[in-house]
Amino acid sequence: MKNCHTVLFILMSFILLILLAVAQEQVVATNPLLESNLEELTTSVYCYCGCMRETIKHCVCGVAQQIETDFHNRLSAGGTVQQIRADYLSQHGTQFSALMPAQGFNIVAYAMPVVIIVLLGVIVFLVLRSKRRATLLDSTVPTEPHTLVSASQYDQIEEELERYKQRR
Amino acid sequence: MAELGQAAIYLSVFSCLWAMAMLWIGLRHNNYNAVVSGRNGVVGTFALITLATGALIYGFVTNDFTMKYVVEVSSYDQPLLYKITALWGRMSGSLLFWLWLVTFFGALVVWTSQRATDYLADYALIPISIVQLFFIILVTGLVEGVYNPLERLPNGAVARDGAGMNPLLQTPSMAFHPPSLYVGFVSLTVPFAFAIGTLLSGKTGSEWIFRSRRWMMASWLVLTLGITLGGNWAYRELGWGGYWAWDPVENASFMPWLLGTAYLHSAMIQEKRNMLKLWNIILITLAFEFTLLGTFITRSGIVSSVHAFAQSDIGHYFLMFIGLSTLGVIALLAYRWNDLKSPNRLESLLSRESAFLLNNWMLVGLTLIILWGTLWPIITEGVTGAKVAVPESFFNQVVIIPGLLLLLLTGIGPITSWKKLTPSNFRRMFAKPIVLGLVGGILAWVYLALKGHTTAIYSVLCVFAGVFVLAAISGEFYRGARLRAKRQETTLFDGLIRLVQRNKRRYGGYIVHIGIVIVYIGILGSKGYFLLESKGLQLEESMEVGKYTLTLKNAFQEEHPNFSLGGVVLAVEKGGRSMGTMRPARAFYHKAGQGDQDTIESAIRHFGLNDLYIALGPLPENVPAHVQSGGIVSVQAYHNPLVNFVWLGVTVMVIGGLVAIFEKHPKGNV
Repeated sequence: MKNCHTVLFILMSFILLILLAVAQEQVVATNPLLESNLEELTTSVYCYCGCMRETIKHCVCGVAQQIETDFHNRLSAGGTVQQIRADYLSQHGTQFSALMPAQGFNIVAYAMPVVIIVLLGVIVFLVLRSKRRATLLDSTVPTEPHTLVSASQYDQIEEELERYKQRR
Repeated sequence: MAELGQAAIYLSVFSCLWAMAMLWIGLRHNNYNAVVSGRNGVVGTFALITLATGALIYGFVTNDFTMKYVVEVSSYDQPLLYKITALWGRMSGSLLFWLWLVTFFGALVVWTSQRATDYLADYALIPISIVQLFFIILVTGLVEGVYNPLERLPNGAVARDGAGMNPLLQTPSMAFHPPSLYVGFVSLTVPFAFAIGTLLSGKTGSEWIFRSRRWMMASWLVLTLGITLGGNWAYRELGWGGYWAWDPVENASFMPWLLGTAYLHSAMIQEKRNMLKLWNIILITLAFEFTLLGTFITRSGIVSSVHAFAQSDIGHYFLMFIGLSTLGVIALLAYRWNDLKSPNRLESLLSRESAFLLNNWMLVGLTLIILWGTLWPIITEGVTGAKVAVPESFFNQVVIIPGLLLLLLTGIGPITSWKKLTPSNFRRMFAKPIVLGLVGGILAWVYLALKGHTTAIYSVLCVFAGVFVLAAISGEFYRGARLRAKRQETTLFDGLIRLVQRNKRRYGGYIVHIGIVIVYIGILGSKGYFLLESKGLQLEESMEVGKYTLTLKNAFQEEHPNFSLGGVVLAVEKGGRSMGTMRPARAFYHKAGQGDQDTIESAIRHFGLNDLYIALGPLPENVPAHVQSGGIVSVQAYHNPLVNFVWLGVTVMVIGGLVAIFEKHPKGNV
């Protein structure tokens, strides 16, 4: 009888374990918050395996798989995205961050393209204006015959010229 | 043979110096014999470097493992094609290949300019020889950081076998991608040399523009092809489902392309209106210097890159050469300053000249932005001490607006008349493209909103600009073809053919613009709306990506001479309908240059314009046994919409470029 209870206890424990595992599996599979956190995390850091500039999500090496499993476990254990990301970067280096928020010194990186375009725009504008003004002021500058023609009209003129040359 | 090659390299130093000296003396003192001797020196340098290159290739083919470079990048069982392509597999060989190309183009300039008094081509040979001398010095092995590619192993040693080339480079596309990039880069030396030749000679007209036009077109075309082949290689070989990631090496090749594109447009202003003489010289100089700057960035190792296979510490030589050559050009420009003033002026701000200037603004702006992003890790480390990597998203964010404006300009330029755009012309030429663009944009917005993408503003703008450009260029073709058909009493199609034949350059250019629109649409779809799903699969297990279901059905293992290929068979279904199977794999190279290595052999299946792309995670060497015993295979599947538009668009661009290049200019071509 005692043996029977023991066997029953082991069996029940086993079933309970299986049920727990299945339940856990379902939680993992259907936990959208955990999945979205994992997505955020795996796209925010690069893999350090040597596949340069490939995020954990995109990298198909074994290292990336291990890291993803580790991130998954840590998120399941209650870790936050920021905390796990900070740990990863402190361990492997800040060059493995796949995010470049427009904060701190990075603001310069984001501002400079605007400065470049604006500065070049000002130069082009000044060149255009000076060239235009010079034309208006300097009536002695020799220019080609004034033709306000569209591309197709220009084409027609070219064709006529060609025909004229052939006739000669 | 190796010793003969080494001797040829050393001798080429003298032939190069001889060419420079004789050309200079002959041109300054009108001594024709000296000029001819200088030309022969250029051809002689080519012959010597060809001999050296041939000696190295002979070493590869005959498995001469007494040669250091052959040991590093080749092996007995490496296929013949990859033995030959090993020439550019690492630093020393790639520099020799670069040098061979410079000497080849130098000789080509001599052969195509056989007139007795071709002062411009002869002056152009001087800067070409200077560039040759720089590369000859690098491959002599006398400078620190790079050894002579024909050097033997020390103490008469013979290696039993070579280490073999990096497996990532043992692909057919790698046989064509690096040489086409090199050809694109190196051939830019010729138009640059013609610009310097015009400054040296003091005859600062537009002849150099006419003479170098075909060279420039060819460089641009080959560079376009080279960049695309690189993207295609990355797409097939790296397993991340993309073709462009703003990697420093990619940027290094893209920047000269942008500057070359700007030059092709601004040169037209000088041809048609005799304006922008100074600017054109600056632009071609920038394009040339950026080929060296790109090489410096990728070879020096100052920024990390995914495919800098030939990295070493020779970057500072490149930097020195860039500095010296730039100073030389600045000095020449200052010396000829007064001669470079353009006699003609701009008649209106609304003209094709202005549109081309705006195009130059955007192209040069984009180049500087990309350079800024590429160098940002160095700047940050220098200022804050922190190491950073610039993500793809940064580049995507900062280039999107200039990129869209550039797209719009590809339509505005062709339909804007030279000199002045009148209000009536504007209405006639712009009304339909604008209306059609708006309709296209609205339809795209509705379609994307129905698909759940409610904030896709850039996509809508891209579709608007794309439709606008297509409508504008189609209108140009239609009007011209109709005119010809009417005049020559023939069909519209015949009129179209005659139209293109009569003005290959212009209409070839328009075809290139159509190709650009197609590329933009491809980028929009594949970068903006791709799907990625990852899952570990066991036998008969399934996963979904978009509308496709993938089921693991089987595994396979194949033995090849220098690698074994292991992978899985995945059944593909769409809506319950079988779409066949796909076989992603990994190749295990046992004799890889960097130790045992495996590469991802992605499976790519085209479904119309979209791709289903599958890459596998790490696998054990015996894949079938692993799968049959219930092992898990990590599968990464991408759905890349419209990605094939990228390759299609580039094909159209190349066709357009080929059409344009065959036009003979009345004032002559090289």
